[in-house]
Amino acid sequence: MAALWLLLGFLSLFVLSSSTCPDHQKQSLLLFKSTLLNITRTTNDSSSSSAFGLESWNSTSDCCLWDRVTCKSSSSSTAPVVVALLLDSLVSTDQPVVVPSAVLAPLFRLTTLMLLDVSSNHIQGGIPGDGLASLTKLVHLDMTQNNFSGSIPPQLFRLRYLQYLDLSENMLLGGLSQQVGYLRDLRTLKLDDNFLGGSIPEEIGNLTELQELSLSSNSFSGRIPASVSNLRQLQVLDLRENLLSEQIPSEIGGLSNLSTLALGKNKFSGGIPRSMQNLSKLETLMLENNLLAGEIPSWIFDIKPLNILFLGGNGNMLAWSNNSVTAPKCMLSQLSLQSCGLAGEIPLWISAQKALVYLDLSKNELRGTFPLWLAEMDLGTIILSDNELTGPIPHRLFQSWSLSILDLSRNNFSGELPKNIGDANGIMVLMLAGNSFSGTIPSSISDIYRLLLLDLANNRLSGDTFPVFDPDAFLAYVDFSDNDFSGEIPVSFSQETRILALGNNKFSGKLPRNLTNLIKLEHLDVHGNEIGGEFPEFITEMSSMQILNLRNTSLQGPIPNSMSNLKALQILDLSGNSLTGNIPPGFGNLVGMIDTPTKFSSISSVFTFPVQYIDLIVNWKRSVQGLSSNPSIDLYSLLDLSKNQLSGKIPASLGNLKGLKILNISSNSLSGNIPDSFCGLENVESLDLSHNNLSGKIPQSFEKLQQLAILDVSNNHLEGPVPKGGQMDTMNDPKYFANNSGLCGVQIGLPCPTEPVKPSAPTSEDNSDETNELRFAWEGAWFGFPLGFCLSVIVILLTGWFPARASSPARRGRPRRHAPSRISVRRIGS
Amino acid sequence: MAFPSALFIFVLPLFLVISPTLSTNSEGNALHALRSRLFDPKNVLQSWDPTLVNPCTWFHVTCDSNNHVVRLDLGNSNISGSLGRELGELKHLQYLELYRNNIIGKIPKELGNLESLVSMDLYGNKFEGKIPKSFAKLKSLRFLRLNDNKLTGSIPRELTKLSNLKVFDVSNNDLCGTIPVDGPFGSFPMESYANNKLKGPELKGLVPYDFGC
Repeated sequence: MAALWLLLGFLSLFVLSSSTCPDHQKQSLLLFKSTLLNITRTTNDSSSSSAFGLESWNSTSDCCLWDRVTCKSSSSSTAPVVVALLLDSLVSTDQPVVVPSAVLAPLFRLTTLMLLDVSSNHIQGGIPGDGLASLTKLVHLDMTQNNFSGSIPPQLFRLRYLQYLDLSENMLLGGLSQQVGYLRDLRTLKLDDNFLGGSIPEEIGNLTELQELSLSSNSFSGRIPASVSNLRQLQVLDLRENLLSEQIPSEIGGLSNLSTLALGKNKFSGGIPRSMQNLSKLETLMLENNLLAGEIPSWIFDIKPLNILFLGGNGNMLAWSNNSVTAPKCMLSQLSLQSCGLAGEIPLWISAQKALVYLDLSKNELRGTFPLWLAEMDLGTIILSDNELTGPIPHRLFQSWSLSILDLSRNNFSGELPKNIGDANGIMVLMLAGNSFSGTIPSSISDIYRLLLLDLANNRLSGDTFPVFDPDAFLAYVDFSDNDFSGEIPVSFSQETRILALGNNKFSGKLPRNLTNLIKLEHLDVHGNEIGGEFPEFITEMSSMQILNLRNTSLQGPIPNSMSNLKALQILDLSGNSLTGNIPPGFGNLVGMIDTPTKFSSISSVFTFPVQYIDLIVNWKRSVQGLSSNPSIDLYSLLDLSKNQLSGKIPASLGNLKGLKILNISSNSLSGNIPDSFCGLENVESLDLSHNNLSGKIPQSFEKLQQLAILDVSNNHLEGPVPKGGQMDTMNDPKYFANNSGLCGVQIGLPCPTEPVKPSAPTSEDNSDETNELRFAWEGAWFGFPLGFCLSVIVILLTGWFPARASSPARRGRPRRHAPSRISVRRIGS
Repeated sequence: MAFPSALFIFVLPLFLVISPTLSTNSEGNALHALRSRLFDPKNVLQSWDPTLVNPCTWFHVTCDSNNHVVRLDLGNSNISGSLGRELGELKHLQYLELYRNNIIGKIPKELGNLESLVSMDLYGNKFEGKIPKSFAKLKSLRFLRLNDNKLTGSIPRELTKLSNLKVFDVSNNDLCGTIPVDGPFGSFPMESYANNKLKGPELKGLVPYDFGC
């Protein structure tokens, strides 16, 4: 942005003429406006030109006087021409408008343009390379925050005057061409947040004027080219969130103007190069989440301007030498030493960092208590999760209006939660899960009106009264799972509540009707409580529900057919209850289980802070997994009705649920056939029909289940062949087919009567008469085949060779002919 | 069936165990390395999030109750690219299903380290080079389908040691030499060898098995 203002200042030095702009330029701009208007009108009836900020663009006025247009004349004698167009944010974000990149076409006739900004306009389609190529005078091109797709057109690299190029936050694919080296005047290159990959070309080193190189959140791989050592002017190098690997080149230490070096979330290995201690202007150093190893050098803390320091994190194996740092020369505002092997007490030198606002010491081996001095620092963020800290939380910590994030999860903290917790009314995220806190939840906690996330799971908290939150509070996430809470299920939460997890407590009684007041609830988990009674039908009115877990809650009676009202429902676990009656056919209309989700809109994306929570535990393909820690949980869809007393036929409509990954209806009393419609479960990976009274055959159409990894039909009355083809060829674990009424197939080593078999399969326990007959029939082959084979071998010997595709009568699964054939060969050969 | 309910009892200790194992997720790392080699136009690997504690909730990946990867099901997934040696890290893998894709390059010999493998389906790809001799270490292997690729060289005689092999298919490749007759190879149908440059069954003591290669 700074570069843009500099450029505008530069442009304003030129005389702004009062004479009108060239008519052809005016007409091009008017054409652009009308095209854009047409697009938005067709997409959205109510939109008007006022949405665009182009009101001043009309045919009667001088286009040099229009908003967003800057003209200049190179001297007082020549006519002014359009040199800059600030066309950012023309399309308002609250209307879902699709703007094709062709809308830009009229602009490419303004060949006098030096600055073009079309950022934040929802533009889709490829970057119009040929069009941009005609703007040969461009100095500044900003196309950020659109939906441009395809690759970066090579024509861009011919814009030789370009100083500023920002294509970040689009959907660009492909690599970064080595032709980028042609842009020798480039000061700023920003390609963040795209899908770009491949290596960073060596030619990047030709851009000797470059001050900012920002390629974060792409898939660039390989090493940082050594040629970066030529980028003497570089101030910002941001390569975070790529797949870059190998050692951080020591040449980086020569970039003496560097103020930001952000290499976090890559795969860099080796140590932190010693040369980096020469970076005397460094303010931000981010090396977290790599594969770095070795000791954390103490000289880092001698870089005086250093302000933000992120080391450690997942993957890094950096070791903290516990006496290496005692008196840092820097004044840090943000410090993350996640997984750095810090042991002992929380280091005292931190107390001298008076400017500190953000401290992350999670995943270390810190012991001792929460120090009072840390409570007195009034930090904004304190993350001490996954350590071995003990004792109570000091009351002083909550006498702070600064505290906004406190994460003490998975330590050994104990004692009661301080009664004054509500004094820290700036807290947004409070995570105290996995400790030994006891007593009740302080009622003052509902005074924290900014609270978004409250995670108290896995403690020893108890009591049957709960703080009453203002319905207008912001609280979106409440997790009280795995405590000793009792009484009625609490529902006095904010209307903003999206996730309510109360599983594995001692709550009792029916779900209260006023649960429906939580109109935005997406995720309700009350498993492992003694709820009882009939299935609460009012739940089917909670239309935003995506995840519903009522496992092991002693529910009885039928499942209401109105479940199909829950259009957003993706995960439903009703297992381990005493539900009776049929599986409602309406399940086949659960839209959330039909559409295959493709986008992430998970609750965790609400928080910029990395939220990891594990409370939705499901039977995922026969292994018990916590799905909630998965940031892409929206991709998951499962239906678990197992271990109930459901009866009747399986409704064919279940086959509609083509988004399902897991379908488990095992351990019920279901009867009849497996519906042929199940071949519509095109995404299903695990299908468990075991322990029912199902009869008939496994539908041959199961060969179409291309994602199937687990099929369990054991303990039914099924018969006939196990279908072949596709994934069914890999369904060969006999235990998943056991205890039926005569299943057979090559997969499970039980030959079917109708197909060729190996007589050497005596392992089957329930050999039917047909099998015996068949074995007898094959006895003939025992005699016939060696004879034919001998003849063949004679032919071989006579002709010298034998094309493999010769008219051999052999078929798949032929009886064992190996021993006789070899004997024959030897006999003839000897 | 008491199987899942028994596991639910162990849910709590299970997660206390999982949480600290973030950095030792070698199977997840191996799969993520595989992902980085593959081009995935249908986005079937979208759920493969390397920041998770284990890969067990990734789609097309199946774990056992100890959270070891036992199945990799990526048949018919339109993926291209090549395989790397990292697949050999999946020590508990039983099913490697990569059939009908556009995978190119050699079959990594490290696949021979997958000693629990029951089924290896690489058919319908563009694999080239030889069938690794290291497959002889796959003692549990029952299904080996390598048909419809561009494999060359001979069928390694070492594979005759695979006494559990029930289905073997190398049809439609460019293999040469003769067809083994020892061990389980006595019972495979001729279709398994069709459309190669194979020269018929091995004639013990008459010609070397790689005769004509």
